[in-house]
Amino acid sequence: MSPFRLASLLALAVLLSFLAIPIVAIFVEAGPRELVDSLGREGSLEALWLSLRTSLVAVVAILVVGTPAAFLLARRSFRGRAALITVIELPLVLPPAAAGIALLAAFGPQGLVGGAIEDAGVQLVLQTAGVVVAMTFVAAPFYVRGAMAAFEAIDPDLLDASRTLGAGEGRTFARIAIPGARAGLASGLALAWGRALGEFGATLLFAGSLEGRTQTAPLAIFRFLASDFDASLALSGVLVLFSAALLLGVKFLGGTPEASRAAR
Amino acid sequence: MLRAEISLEREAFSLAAELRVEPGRRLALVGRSGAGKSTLLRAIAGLVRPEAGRISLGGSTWFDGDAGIDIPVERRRIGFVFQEYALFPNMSARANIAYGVRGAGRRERRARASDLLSVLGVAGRADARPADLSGGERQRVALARALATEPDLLLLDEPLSALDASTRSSAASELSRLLLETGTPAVLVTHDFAEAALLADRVAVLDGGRVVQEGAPAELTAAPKSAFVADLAGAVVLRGIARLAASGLTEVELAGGGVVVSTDRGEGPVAVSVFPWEIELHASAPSGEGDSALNRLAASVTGVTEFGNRARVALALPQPAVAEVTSASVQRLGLAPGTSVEVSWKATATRLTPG
Repeated sequence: MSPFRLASLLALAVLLSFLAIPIVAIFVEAGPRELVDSLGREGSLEALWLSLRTSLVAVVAILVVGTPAAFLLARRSFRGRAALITVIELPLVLPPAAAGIALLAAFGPQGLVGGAIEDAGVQLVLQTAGVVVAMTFVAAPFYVRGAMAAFEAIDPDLLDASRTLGAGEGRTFARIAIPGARAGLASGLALAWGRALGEFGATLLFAGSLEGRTQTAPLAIFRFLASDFDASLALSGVLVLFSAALLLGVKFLGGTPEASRAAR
Repeated sequence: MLRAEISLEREAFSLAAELRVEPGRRLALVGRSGAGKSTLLRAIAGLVRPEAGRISLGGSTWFDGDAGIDIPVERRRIGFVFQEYALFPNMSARANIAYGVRGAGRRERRARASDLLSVLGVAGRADARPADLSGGERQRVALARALATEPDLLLLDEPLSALDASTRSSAASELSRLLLETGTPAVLVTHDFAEAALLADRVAVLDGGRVVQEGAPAELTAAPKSAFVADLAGAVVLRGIARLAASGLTEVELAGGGVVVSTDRGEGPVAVSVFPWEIELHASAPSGEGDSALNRLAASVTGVTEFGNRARVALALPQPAVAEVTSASVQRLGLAPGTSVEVSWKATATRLTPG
């Protein structure tokens, strides 16, 4: 075996153990029994349920708005396109605390558009709706990026062919573009959902950590940390399992992007 | 009748062309890659928007730059065959075709798709995905799909170029038969003049975004307007200087040596075109008695490529040339690289264009 091959194998082993050991540790420290027990503790299930609901709403909003927007960005070239994409990608690199402050500055009571939102009768700060806003803000770029890459990879002749066969732009989008980008859309969705579920900093600053209203699972983990480590572990375990299921589900549903590219 | 007047500007490329296709006729756009053939076809389809011009089919106007009319692709009633066929990879052959059937229920669409698959002889492959079809089958499914919309106009972009050589000629004659049967006017793009002559009844030669000559294939071979057209039509093109000879014929002194005569008029630098099948080969100097070929030149064979019962013989005149002869002649004359021969062709087969 060449020294390089040996070094690469070693690097892979180091990487795998570093990434896997903490995950394994959660389940070693909290067996299935403790897991179920501590979930019954006050607030745990509530927090999980809140996380699930809010992230679902965020993900649906991201899908509905992000998919056609990503399609447009991927298929059209226009002046300022690169700048526009940078704006969309910005939340990816924004520190979550800064994202929280930015949301307050924009949608808070004294924020840039806070007045207008209040006039419309919508409350965001310290509200469940605020959790959804924070999740959507940080998670949307993950999906939009994936969706754009997936749409860009579609053979433009397929979209043209659909038009020549009498299908308008809408039908072409629904029947050809979305199925063609399925794998990429699914993996973007999984990333965005995972990011939304894990949202912590922006939610804390923008929506607070009110039990039953804005305290999502990650915030509950933080609250339990000092008083009840087992409960923290159990909640973490559930989040890990859910995220893993998400990832596997996506691979199963969408196939890998490589496989669908080969099929074309 | 299709009338198209299209001008279109792109970076380092401009297209300005005028085309007409009579009802039930087929026009081939021929030219080198980059000549603008595919762009022109896409403009007719509405996939590319011209800067100015007018496109109309029968009584309906599809595009009018001045009037601001631009009917979207999906309402132009065209059938388009893409170069790589562009079959939807996630659908079966039948579903690909059913996709284009208009205004019918699901069952009817499937039935119509099955009919078209039968017409094209691929009924057995209805449930196969494009990835599992052979090149020839893909081409037929693509054709069936283009016909599914019952188009008023068929547009075919290099419909045979994705096929390998072995299936290409049979696919070409089949396509020709189908185009005649459907009677739908068609515009097709090809870089192969022989293919254009087989599939279309008129040919428009494009060069640098302009139509340089248009006519029936036989007209183009008989009287090419330029060396470019002659070359594209498959002629041997030789360079030389022309002057009027005492006989009333034009005499051309070929670059590199040799003199030929032509019945065409010409003066100064010219391009001499002669088709490979008009060039005769002789083992030794022909006697000249009982032979009406006025042009005789010494040449040496540089290569022999046999296909079927014919052979293309590459020659150095010394300018490069090609003669097409039967395989029997290759045997009889013992043609091989290095063989010295005499070539001859008639003055009436010698076409002159300004060089």
